[in-house]
Amino acid sequence: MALLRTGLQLVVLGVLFAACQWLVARTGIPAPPGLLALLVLIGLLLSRAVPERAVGQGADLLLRYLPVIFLPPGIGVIRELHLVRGHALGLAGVLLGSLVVGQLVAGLVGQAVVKREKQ
Amino acid sequence: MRALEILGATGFTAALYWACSVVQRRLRLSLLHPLLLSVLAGGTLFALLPESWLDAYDRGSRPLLWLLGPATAALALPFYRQRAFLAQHPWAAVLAAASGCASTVAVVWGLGELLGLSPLLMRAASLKNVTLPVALGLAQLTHTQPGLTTVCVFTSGLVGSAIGPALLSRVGVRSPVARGLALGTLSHAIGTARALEEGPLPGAAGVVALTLSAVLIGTGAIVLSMIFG
Repeated sequence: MALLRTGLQLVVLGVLFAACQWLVARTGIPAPPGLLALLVLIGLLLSRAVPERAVGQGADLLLRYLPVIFLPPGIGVIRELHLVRGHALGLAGVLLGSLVVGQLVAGLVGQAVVKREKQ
Repeated sequence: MRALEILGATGFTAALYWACSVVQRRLRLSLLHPLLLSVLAGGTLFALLPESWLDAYDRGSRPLLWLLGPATAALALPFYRQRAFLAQHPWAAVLAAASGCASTVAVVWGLGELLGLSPLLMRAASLKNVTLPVALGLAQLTHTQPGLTTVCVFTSGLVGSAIGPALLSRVGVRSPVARGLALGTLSHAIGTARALEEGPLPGAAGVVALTLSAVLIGTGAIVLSMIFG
């Protein structure tokens, strides 16, 4: 029974994504269908049009095995190594520098706002 | 032939990830994420094989890749479950995520220009702090290579969760909410897992921040792609 419920919830998530794919293709909205489906589902859950129990277990299952879905594009990087050739050090510097600055800014801003909220 | 390719690619992907998870558990090295190990092992293997094998793997893994869409929608659930946190700290969450995203993208383009990186590499680096299912959708939209985007997203997650907590402590960020927001904004799910180790409050902040930063960077990428095509 639980298996059937989880399967049906996966179908609901699949239908939601397929509907967003159709909408993007039909209207030409320049948005990834997945991001659109995420926003639609957040809206549906917050407005209680869709209860959490209608998609919860299916979503948990998908998120648990998410890394497996990432593998094919990850392996595909070997086709793109030539793009990094000669720029690997520069790219590493940019990634590290921007990561450190972003984390510090987000942390300091978050802490300042939390302090203000407490006052 | 097509069914065989799908079966082979799905079976290979699942088996490779499972094997690398076992290796990672045995080695007990948190920096060696099973996905990173799998990418390294799979990439090395396909580099040694004829290119037609990688072509067949690409074709066979298309149905698995389609699942990225429903999986992106599924991210709504953890966000919805943390709605109480968002109701308590709406401004801290939005402002920390927005400032973190804006500053990191600004540094990518500023430093990237200075170091002579190509726009393609800078686009991939700009998507680094977006959770991977959304980042791959945005990569398609912005004509950025998915493999390169995956590597940038991974670097941000792994390095950010490794150095983030010490970095935040060093500059005096002790608020659990702020620490979770910083880790979730820049290091998405991997950072959120690290924030959860500090407690449930930083963990909740991380989940909210990773969703907000995906929406913010996504909106920015959509607007820019509308302007510049």
